[in-house]
Amino acid sequence: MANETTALTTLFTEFYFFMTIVLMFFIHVGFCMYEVGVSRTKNLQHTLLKNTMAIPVVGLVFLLFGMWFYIALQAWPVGSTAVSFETGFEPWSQKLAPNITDRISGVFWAAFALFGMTAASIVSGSIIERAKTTGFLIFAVYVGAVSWVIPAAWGWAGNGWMVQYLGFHDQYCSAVLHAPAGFATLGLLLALGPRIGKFGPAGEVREIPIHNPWMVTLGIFLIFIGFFGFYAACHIPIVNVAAEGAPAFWTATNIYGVPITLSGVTLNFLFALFGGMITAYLISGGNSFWTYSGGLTGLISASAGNDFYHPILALIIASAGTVLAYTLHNFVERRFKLDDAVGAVAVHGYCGVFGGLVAGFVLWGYPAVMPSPGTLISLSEGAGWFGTNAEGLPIVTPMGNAICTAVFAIGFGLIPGYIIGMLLKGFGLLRVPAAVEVSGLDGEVVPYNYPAVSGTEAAFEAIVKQEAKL
Amino acid sequence: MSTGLSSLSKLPELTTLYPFAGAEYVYTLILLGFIVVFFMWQTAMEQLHIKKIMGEAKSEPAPSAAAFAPAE
Repeated sequence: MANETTALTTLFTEFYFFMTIVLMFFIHVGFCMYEVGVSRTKNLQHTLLKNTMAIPVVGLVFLLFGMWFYIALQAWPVGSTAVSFETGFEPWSQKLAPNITDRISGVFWAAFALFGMTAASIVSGSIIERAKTTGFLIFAVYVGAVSWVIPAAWGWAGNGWMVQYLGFHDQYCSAVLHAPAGFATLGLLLALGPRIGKFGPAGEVREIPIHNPWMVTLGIFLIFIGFFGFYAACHIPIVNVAAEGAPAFWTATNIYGVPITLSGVTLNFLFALFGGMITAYLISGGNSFWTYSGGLTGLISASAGNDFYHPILALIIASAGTVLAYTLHNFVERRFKLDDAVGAVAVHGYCGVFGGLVAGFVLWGYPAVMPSPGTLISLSEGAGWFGTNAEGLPIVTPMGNAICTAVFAIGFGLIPGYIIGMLLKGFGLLRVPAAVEVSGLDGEVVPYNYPAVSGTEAAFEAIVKQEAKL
Repeated sequence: MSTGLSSLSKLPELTTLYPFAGAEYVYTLILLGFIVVFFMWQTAMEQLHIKKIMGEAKSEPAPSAAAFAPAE
């Protein structure tokens, strides 16, 4: 590297993203614990491996095409009709391998790949105890490497056409990632149907007993930890945002190149978490499942604008989003017989949409993007269809955020989710036969899930005693 | 023989560090093949697993399924 400043900023950025990746893996640990905790003892290993295998599968396809979508489609089809195959993120790129001239592409890719794995994991929990692993993994390819990636290219990149022309703002991916993943889950659930026994003959909702509430709660705790990494990965941690020829201005920025402070974001993160947890605790009457989920509903509701909100604003928005998620989840479950085993549609889908819509109102008039040579963000010709500020930068508006959020949730979530779900169903890849569902998806290993409870351990100990002649 | 890095004498000229640089298209095809094989294998493995459970379920006494309403 040419000088000390370049070396320090480059190596810091490389290490920063590396650490976010490590933290984000806790999301998967949490999802696995959570889902296994919610499952009955006859389905534990199937549930665990179904979720776990989303990690390598989404990772592999993310190298094949996921990251390329994000880089290549930012201006397409509105800002430009051209699609480049020389972005540096094609699977054959020399930058996505040990290369002394590039220290960022790999960790940048990995942070995005972890986002994709998380998106796929969102689906996994909802469909436990009756879905086939193969069908889920095919669905995971869509959700993890397409459904949120194209929205991210358009609305979560400084040069994305929705940011430039519609002034879209969604810093921590409420609408960009959670909404399409949550609504794709809804589409899939419509095709999949509920678990046997979930609804009674008169349509009454039955509580399916979860096998380990402590795993569920600890799992969500770990998701909270991973969420810190997710937030951190949404920044440019250090960059000079000064215009060409102007005095240097070093700062952290949001994904749109606008200066922010990690300090402020940390408070907003925590207050959104607090607001969600307290609200969920109160409205659910102290239900532990909802209290922990409330942390997530709060975070996802406030995430779209958590780079700029005041902590108390984050708390209020988180509380409102949590009430919405709780109410809608119970209403939809009763009214439409939707068996969402972990409440993913409510937590990610409804709160993702809510977060995207609210940010448009609360941040109305904020510059949506800040072009600078340091961030490689430039201003497109004719940017700011819904208005510009005095410097000609596109501004955030309720209309811009509403349009984009709707496109992401419905166009990339619900509709394709339902179509792919029906196709999987048609090919017999979606749901296990009823007999398998009743006897348990773990098959012959069911007695080994908890040997001390099933009697397997006692039977073996009897053999041991017999052989020891005791 | 060196498949990639053979000298560290000219640091400013260092670029790719991995073996067989220039064969990235071949690497890509291997990745694609790996994914395809995985899905084929997974599909067959799951079908076998389900058949096995179905066989075991048939050999057991019928569960009290009358109380349940199968979703499909």
